[in-house]
Amino acid sequence: MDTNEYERLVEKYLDSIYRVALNSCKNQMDAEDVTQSTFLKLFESREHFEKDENVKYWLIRVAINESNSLWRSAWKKRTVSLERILQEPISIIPQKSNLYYAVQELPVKYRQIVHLYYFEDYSIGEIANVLKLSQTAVQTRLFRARQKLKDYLRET
Amino acid sequence: MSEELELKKEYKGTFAEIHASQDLAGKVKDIPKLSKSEKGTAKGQILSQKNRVLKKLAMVAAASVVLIVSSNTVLYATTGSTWLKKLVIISNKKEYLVDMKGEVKDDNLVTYSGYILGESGPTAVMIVREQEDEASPMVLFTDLVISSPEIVEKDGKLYLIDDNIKIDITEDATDGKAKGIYQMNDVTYQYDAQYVDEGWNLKISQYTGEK
Repeated sequence: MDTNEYERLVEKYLDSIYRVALNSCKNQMDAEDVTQSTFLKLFESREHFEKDENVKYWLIRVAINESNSLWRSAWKKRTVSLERILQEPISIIPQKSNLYYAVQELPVKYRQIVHLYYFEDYSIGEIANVLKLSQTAVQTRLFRARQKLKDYLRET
Repeated sequence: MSEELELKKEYKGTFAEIHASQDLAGKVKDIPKLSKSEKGTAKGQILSQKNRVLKKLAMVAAASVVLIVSSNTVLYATTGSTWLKKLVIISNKKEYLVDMKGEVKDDNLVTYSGYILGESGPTAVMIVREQEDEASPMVLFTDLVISSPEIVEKDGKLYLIDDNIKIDITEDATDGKAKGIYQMNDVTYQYDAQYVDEGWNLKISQYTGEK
């Protein structure tokens, strides 16, 4: 990939991919590793993208795959994330942290769907494609995630 | 505004505040500047086990939220050595005296692993430090995702125990050998166990579908 084009895409999508990675990994360090791996793959990729939206979609898919691989690695099995207070991403606003923590309490399979639906405005079909799930599975998990979020926010 | 739209608005508002650090942005932007060999190294470094642990050590030390463990550790043990030690662990302001298994891993890292029996049941713990001297900081990791799997014999039956699962593998075992697959945390694993010198050697790997 052309360097100028790469830099343009980094400027445009770095924060989005970092948010997806953080959402999947739950800790800043792993999210940064995943973000770097994802953009490294972009730079080395020979994919031809017709438009920027396709690039973003590709980046998100790669970031989620990288996050899932990280989670399943032998080392990750024997390590844990530090206490939540150490994992605060930069610029979190305290008065909104209830929702942030509520989302972090969700299992990863729900968190990813919630983020793609509520933040990235992806449709059920697009989310199913990214996560390699059926649309029914996506709808079910989204429904359950909403219930859990409501329950958690009601308690706090 | 409907509840759904409100949730969407709040979600976007919350997560829009999250940005990649300047340091991360710099590293990502610099990827094209890396030579071919450096990219391979960068890839390795990104996934490096040691770097991940050491970054966590530095992060925790800087945050000063580390739980202090009082002990004298073995110095300069050879890689692969294992030993048992009682360590005092302070977690959530409570003290626990824990039997920990110590071992030296690659890259000069000493790890201790064991269990705290807390109010909500057993919690696996792991402590990691560099094998330098007794003054080096020790970092406590709690709530381990998965503990070490093992084979246990009880009442004439054979069980494979891993994290919070216990599988009866009696029927899979013949002539001191047992092989099979099991599911845990949405991942399929395969196990290969052999009874050697009055104990079980157990190998666990992710199931690839190959027989």
